[in-house]
Amino acid sequence: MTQQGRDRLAGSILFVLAALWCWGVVATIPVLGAEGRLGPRGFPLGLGLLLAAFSALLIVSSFLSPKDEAVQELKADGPPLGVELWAVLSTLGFLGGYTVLLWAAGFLVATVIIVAAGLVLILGKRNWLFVALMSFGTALVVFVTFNKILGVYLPHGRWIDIWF
Amino acid sequence: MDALLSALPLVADPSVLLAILVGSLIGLIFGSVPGLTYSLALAVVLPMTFQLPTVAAVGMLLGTYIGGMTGGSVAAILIGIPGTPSAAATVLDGYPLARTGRAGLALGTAVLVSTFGGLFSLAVMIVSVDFVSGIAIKFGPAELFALVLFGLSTICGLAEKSLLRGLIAGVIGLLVMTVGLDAIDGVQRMTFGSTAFLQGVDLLVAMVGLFAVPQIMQTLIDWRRGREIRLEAGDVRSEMPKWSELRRNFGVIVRSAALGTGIGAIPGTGGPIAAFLAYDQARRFSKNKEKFGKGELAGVIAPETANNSVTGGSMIPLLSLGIPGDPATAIILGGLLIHGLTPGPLLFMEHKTEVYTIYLSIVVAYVAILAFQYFGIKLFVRVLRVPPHILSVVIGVLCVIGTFAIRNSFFDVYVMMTIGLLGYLLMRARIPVTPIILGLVLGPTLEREFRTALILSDGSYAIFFQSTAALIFFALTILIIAFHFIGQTRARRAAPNAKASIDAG
Amino acid sequence: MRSFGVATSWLAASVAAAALIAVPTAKAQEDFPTKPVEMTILFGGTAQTIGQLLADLMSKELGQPVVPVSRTGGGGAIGYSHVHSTRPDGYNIVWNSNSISSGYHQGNLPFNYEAFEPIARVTVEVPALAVRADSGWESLSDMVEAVKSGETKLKMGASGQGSFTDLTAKALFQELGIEDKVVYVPYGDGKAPVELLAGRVDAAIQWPGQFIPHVQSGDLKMLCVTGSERVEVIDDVPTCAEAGAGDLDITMWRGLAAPEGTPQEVVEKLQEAARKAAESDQLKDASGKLGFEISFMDAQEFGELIAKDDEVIAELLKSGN
Repeated sequence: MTQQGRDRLAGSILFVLAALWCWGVVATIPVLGAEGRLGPRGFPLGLGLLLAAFSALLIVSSFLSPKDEAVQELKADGPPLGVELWAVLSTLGFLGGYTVLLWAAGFLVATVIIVAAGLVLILGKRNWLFVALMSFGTALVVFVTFNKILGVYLPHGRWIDIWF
Repeated sequence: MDALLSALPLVADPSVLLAILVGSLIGLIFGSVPGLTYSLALAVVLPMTFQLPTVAAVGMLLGTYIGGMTGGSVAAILIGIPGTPSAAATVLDGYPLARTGRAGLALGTAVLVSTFGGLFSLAVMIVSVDFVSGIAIKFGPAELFALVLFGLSTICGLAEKSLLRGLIAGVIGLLVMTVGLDAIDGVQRMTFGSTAFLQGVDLLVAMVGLFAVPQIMQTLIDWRRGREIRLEAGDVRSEMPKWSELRRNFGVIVRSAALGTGIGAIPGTGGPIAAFLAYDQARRFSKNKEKFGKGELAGVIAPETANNSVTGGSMIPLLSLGIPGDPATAIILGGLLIHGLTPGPLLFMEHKTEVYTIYLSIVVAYVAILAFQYFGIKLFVRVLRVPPHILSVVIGVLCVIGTFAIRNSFFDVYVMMTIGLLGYLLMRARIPVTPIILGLVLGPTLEREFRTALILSDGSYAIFFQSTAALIFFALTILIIAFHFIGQTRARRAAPNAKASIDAG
Repeated sequence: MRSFGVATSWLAASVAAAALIAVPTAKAQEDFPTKPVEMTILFGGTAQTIGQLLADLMSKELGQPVVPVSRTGGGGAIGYSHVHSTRPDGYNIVWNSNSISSGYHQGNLPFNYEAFEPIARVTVEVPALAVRADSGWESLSDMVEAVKSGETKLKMGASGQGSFTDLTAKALFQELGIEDKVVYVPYGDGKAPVELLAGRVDAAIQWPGQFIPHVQSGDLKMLCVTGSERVEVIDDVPTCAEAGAGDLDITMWRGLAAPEGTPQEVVEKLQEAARKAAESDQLKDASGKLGFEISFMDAQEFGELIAKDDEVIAELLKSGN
């Protein structure tokens, strides 16, 4: 994809999102603008319109930019799509999985499982001693410093609740 | 002078010194973990102070507050994720410095100028508390709106090459913050009838998402492609800033300190605005503008001086008027009250000695933090020797825990992830992230003050042009935008084929 | 591979352990509490400080820690929803307030106060109406006269729409019959007192503690408090009813509640722990300094109060919009 193409894509997506936002604002937020005051709708609607305008400008400006640069292929060292997709999904899976585990099994169990899973499944580590040390170590260090010493509340599990 | 002399032995008491030290350390730790900030640290510390005698309790709270403000720079510099919103501007140059092995220099400079900023603002406060609070009280909704708008104008500087992209980012930031329960009319906005959405997007949640998530993704990509940047033991120096370096930036330091103190004194503004404004002025007046964002030391100095100056500045309305400027100072207020120190005009007459113990505690806290950081830096920089892909697993865990801890809400963690993904996509579309942060920080204040001003004036827009302060800030805003366009036109003429011309606007 | 086996058996053990903890038995109620009790706190500021203090005091009574967990946002809706969704076993309680009713009647909560089992009321806070000392208004009736005869509207500072001070302001001016000559200016973070000091609003309704320092310095004057009785620390300030506002009685209470269906014995244990905490010197000491009053009420009375206040708030919110 060219830089020009990418700007058009980004501009179009943002424009659609802005339009949807504006529709949502008009459909759900009451005006309440009596007595000349600006009600709760004013800001979100104004910002939505601004975003739509700016993204339209981004599309327009991509047509105005000098040909030689704009149509240049994106630098070859951008990551291959497969790697990028893998990284994005791994990260979201890691964070999301951890959150679900925290909810279900509480801090200690969730942290041990997710750190081990991250090291093994995402980073492909096969040194079991290292994986065990890292997962139990992270869980314990964070638990002791934050919960035991500093008194920060850490999530208890809804189904499993191991605590000490 | 009598008050100072009678306060001295009170603060010099070993138990008080210990309390301040413990507070500072707790603050530093909370400050350096993304998501955990001094607001949470203060909430955790407050119950501990119930049992303590007054001077020790107040000292511990102040230590926590100041430690937390200073600690924010550690994560910002080392891993590129600000520990607190006030340190978001520090990432811009601090992180690039760390990536080239100069983390020690950045951290050392940060703590030195933080201390300077803190003590500078304290001095201003001691000398002119009545004068400054008299000015601060004049800042009503219209003036605050003008000030915040001025803050937004720094998007010009942060937008890198294209103002249009910067504006898109800024608007997205402002937009996100309107979700939730509207503070003025109590109406639900874009919640789709869901209770979870009512809490809206917390600034910290969004910030952790924007900085941490794209970074973890990028680390994984680099690692998978064998392009991971690994600093070997020899590359990570714990060098300290040289005096000459600081002297060269003396102007930046003093300007940032003054700016931070002033902004801190106005209730309802706070650290992040001060830091961004300071960063912007440092860049604007610098001879090597193009180095900013790539590891310019002045880019660390300015925000770090400014955000710590806010601590002293915010003490002014807190102590003289009993007005907390932000949630953190509100907790300090609670701590003062519970120990029988009621802030307000009478505090300085009836509790002169206690006021001086507060001043002295702040000095002690800074000394403690300076010492902690000096020895800590050698430890901190070791973090950089951990391979980034392994570190990213731990960062992921800390970010989830930190995000959760803000409001003990799992929903917030999902919001963090969503915003993180959005941030990554925007980055790939070459839309800069920093203006989003600016929008997030300033959005709620901007809207609230604008609407409140209009309620006050019964819908007349004249209210925005009736005070000198507001007019000055509007003028400054226009000036900055004008300079930006002049600068861009000049750059375009000088180099007609320069990359800057790709992006019209 | 061997360590994988270890991990599996470890996991199995933890599941088994959890099963043991999770099975509720009749005995569990007698022994209550056998593990820490979570107290959800809905707001920051004073609410949080008192909540933390109360939790601390109750821990000593119950022999298990009461952990204050702050779940703020949505005017309390987030915290109420969380506690509502937990098991009714007494291990999840909420440091509640009138916000349960205002949240529900504003449409921010899908359930009302009946979704909770009241435990005990612990404290009350009474808003106060203040004006500038140089306003020339010595009493509530002075202000009402001036507003009635004046051309311009009275600018009245309180917190945002639906907040307790905002409801109080609406109720007061309805009672005084001048609500159409008042502009409500919503401020966040307790900024209303400064705005009053600076002269941007003509009057403000906030908590007495926020006004007291400025009253002492001679800048502000409190005209009345909105409860049915005077407030101890400022007993020279009349109630609004005494000052001519009909029979106005608006008081914000804070107390404890558990999800509906919590066993009666458990509620009683918590109620007694709260009673002991309310009687402690420490809470009394804090009340004077933080500006709230201790006013214990047991579960039954508290339940009746909540129901009564709910009607009042429903009425106010209906007429307010």
